[in-house]
Amino acid sequence: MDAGVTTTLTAFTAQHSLGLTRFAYVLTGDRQLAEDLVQDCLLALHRRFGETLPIEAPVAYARRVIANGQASRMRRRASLETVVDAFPDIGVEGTDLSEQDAAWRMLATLPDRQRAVLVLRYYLDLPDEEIARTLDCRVGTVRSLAARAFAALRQHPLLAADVEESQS
Amino acid sequence: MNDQQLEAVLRSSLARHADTIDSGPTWPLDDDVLEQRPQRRRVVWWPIAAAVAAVLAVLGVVLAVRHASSDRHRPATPVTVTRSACTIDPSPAWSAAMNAATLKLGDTPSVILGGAPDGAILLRYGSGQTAQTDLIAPDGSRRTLDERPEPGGGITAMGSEIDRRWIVLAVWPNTPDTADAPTNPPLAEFDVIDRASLHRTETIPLAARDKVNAWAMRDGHLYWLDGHGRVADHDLTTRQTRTIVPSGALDLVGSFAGVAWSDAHGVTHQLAGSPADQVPGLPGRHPDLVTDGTAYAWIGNGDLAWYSTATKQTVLIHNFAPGLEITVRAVAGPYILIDDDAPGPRLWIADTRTGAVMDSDGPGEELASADGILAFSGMPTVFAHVDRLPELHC
Repeated sequence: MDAGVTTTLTAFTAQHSLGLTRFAYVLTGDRQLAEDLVQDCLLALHRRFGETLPIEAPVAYARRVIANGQASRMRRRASLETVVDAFPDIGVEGTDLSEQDAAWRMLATLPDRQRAVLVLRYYLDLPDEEIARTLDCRVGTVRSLAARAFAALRQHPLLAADVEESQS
Repeated sequence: MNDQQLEAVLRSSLARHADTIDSGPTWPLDDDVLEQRPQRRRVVWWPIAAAVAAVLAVLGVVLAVRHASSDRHRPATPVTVTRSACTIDPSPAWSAAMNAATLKLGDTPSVILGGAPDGAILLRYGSGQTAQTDLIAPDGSRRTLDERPEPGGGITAMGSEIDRRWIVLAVWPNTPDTADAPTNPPLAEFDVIDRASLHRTETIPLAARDKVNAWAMRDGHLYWLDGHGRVADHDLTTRQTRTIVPSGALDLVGSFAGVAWSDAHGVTHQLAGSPADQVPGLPGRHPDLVTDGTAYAWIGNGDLAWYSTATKQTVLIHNFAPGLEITVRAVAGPYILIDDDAPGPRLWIADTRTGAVMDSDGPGEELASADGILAFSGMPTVFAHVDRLPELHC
């Protein structure tokens, strides 16, 4: 199907729900939240357009809704959070912690927008211009966020441990 | 582990974890799912914002009065003024100035592609059948440089380059929004235009396999980085290209000050000009520095910082959006334009003369400022002379 042609929400969901849920999962690291975000996205599409989607790029539009939805959740959560002295362990759903790699765990430590940039770049292979459109920011901000994310990852002890392990 | 290895690890990890998801929601949503969905909760932030604004307004007035006497006299020696931010709504005078500066483009989407040091900007907008790129001179006159059928005619890209001598249009191919396949179209060509004649002097084709992903122009040279880690230097006058970095380049960044590339070890190599983190006349280094040629702005110790090479005055604005990650997008005379990390495009404008900070009530998706001109695109697209904009007051 040419996504540029008008499609229905039902057909769009059948074709793209899995891909969007995978995207939401790597964006958030949380299966339940990923499904919630995709459901929110579908509801938003329905509220705005009804059953027919008269938009040129529904997949890109949906990704944008999901990315913004995640940013909104993080922001709301941050406003309600209480700072504590010790951070609890990061919860992991559905997958055994031992199966998870260091990179995945490190992604969970990044600020929301830095993680989003890495996901859009290295999971979806989007160019920076498209990432900027998805995150509603300028290209320079995308590159700045990516650089900061890489700087943080390079210094992360989990990655250093992996490097040492691979070298020994 | 260098950046390329880190990229490979990230790709592998993300793909592996994504593959653990084997289903997604269906549509229509089940009734029980709908019942379980919490109602979208609106964050009631206006009362908080109003209270904070009121407090900051009082502080701002106190500080503005305190510093008023020093502001009236142009300082002969470097001086630093500190102000406290106060958040305000757009005033009728500001709205009127924006209306007067709005470009009449109908309902067509438009984007600022780039800005020159003399205040000229490149603007792309589409009619549905064609995508047009215009040069807007500092006096507001417009000339069409490029027109392409849409779709299928290519897209002039944000990041196109312009200086006083040359215009380089970066052109992407038009690609459909395919289903699951991520779109990563490589740049197709550079179109070079002589600003004196506004004639195209050459087209530089780019091989798709080379995946050119960063470029910058400086002093009559166009530099680009491809997916093989190579950096090319193209002389716009002689039209000759040579490879100056055969491999190992990870990034190429152009700024108001120069062009540099960085390697896998994070080492930056200057190709032209100077690093973009130094303010003439001030000590220290200031990452993410922006300038309009005379005024400079950056974030220092959590404050908005502004410096004018004309007056030698530094202004620090405290307490702007505490808790938010902010990015200084541009500076235009006394105004600093700021993005925050809230979802959606949002452009804040701070007036360094008063400390007043205003939500511009519109997206500033791409913007350019130089030599007394401020332009930003979105809806609407604005091309303004800074000296005609009103002062923002707390």
